[in-house]
Amino acid sequence: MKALIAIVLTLGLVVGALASTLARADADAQIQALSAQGAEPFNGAAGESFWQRKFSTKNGEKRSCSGCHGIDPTQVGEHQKTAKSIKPMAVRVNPERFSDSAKSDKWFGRNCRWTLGRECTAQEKGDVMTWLNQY
Amino acid sequence: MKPILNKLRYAIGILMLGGALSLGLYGLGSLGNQSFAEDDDDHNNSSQYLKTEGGTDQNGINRGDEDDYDDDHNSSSQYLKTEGRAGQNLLNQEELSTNAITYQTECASCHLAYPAHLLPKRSWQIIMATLPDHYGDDASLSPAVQGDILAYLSGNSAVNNDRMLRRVAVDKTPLRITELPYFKGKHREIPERMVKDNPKISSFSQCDSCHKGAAKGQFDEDNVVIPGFGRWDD
Repeated sequence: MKALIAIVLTLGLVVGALASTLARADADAQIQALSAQGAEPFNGAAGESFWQRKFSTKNGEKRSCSGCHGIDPTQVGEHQKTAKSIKPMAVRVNPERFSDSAKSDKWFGRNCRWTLGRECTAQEKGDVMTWLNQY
Repeated sequence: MKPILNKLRYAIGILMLGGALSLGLYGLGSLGNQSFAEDDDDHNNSSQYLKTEGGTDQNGINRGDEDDYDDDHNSSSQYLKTEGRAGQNLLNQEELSTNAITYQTECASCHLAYPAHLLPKRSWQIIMATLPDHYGDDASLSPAVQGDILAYLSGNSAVNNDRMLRRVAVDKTPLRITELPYFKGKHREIPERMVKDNPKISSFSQCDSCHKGAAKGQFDEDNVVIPGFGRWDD
């Protein structure tokens, strides 16, 4: 009986580890695709400072990635306007992040336009994803 | 004899557990297919339905006050009825439910997927055409997804006789459910401290804070629970 429990637990651990590796691999693939768009090598530290960089809207409101997602990407965030709760962005605690490239594109599009007033560059997106993927 | 019996027990146990688990999984899987295109105009009690109709004038403006919401609808007949009612819907049932799922996935990832029959088609058209500035947020979607969702919403939208459109002029396009005269009338007795000044809610747009069945189109008064204040008793 003990052996059986041990086997089940081991299997669970293996599957868990595999899933988290796969999640990172998903993000890696998207980072690869971005780096092909002619930007410099991506840098996690640059991603972290971009995460906190504040942009002003026309009426003086300050917006940043961290404004809604929070400074610590392993924590739950809250949208600064709508108060919607946002699940963590760090891949380690939320493997679902960046697991679907269409979804990543959709949200980068919406959030960059809302926060920066423009599209993000491949460099900005790559840096941030590198940081979130290694956090 | 005993070891064989034990083995037999094990085998039966595993079989039963496996069966129970797969049943459970099957149940979870089919949850996603449930219709949420509920139509609150549809009363189970047919005499009540007739009574409502009787109080309706040609334009549906001064309808009788027989408007308790009924909740238990059979989902498959619901779809057919909704289609027939909208008249202009050329999508088949399968496409309709795919679009319904798209609506649910895309829109409910941020807020309650407001039941389509709460606004007229012209409202949904404008809302879906202005997603980059969606009530102050950017909710852009790809044109294809946008089209699918609009097809679902317009096919199930409020039509002329619906109570949601009472006292709404045909040349006006309401962009907020909370601005509809019908909505306002229904919520007139709710004091500000219960919703607007209630930190647990903060806005009437959060239907599901008090109407737990909102996502399924259930808004009947008997099931209202206001966070921090409890059951609403008229």
